[in-house]
Amino acid sequence: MSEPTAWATLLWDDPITPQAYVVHVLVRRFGLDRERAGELMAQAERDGRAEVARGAREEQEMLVAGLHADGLVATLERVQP
Amino acid sequence: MLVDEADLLATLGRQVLGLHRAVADGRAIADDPVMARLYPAAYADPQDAAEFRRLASVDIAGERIRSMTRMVADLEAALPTEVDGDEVELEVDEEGADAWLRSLGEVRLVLHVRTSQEPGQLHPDVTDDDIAQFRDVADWVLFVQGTLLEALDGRIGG
Repeated sequence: MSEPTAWATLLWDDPITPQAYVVHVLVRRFGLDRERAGELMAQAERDGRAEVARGAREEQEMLVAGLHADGLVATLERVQP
Repeated sequence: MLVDEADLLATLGRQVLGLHRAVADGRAIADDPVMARLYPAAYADPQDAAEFRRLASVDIAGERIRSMTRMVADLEAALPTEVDGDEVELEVDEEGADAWLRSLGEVRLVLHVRTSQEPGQLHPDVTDDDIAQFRDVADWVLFVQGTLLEALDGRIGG
């Protein structure tokens, strides 16, 4: 049952949502410290998107669904493991 | 919060609830820009995105219905039955705070997307004054959400 390919959860830049809310959601959902959450938020803003998690497809789908429920724009994408 | 503000926020919250209920019942309009923003594609591939929507959107809508219902219920409980002042007192515990943060964000997203649409795409009865007013309300909702976030993050200890 090994998953040959890995999947990544990508957070997309979203000019509508306030930065502090994005950081809050990342801290709550991923257990990050505020500094790391702030870096990921800034990366998404700068590059258009930031990888916030990586793993099995089903797990990443759950994470994307959670971020959508919190009003953020997120996708998942196949990545080289 | 002023009584009028609480009343307006409850009304907007009930409207957003209607959108989530439509998703939960499988009758959401797919090409509405508000729905596209509230329920974005999870995959670049349209087929994968449609499959994800089919499997996940009812659960996502259910989660949002729970949090929005909480905010609307808190507001309705705080609203005075008789006119006994201009202000309402709202106390929100930690679990409620997350529901409020998310719900305020949704109300603001909906207002933002609607006021950013081309005038021709909106209901013909919507005037420029209405749009200006929606924008003011969106700014106010942003302020309320920011105040709540500051209070929460301050308590967690930065």
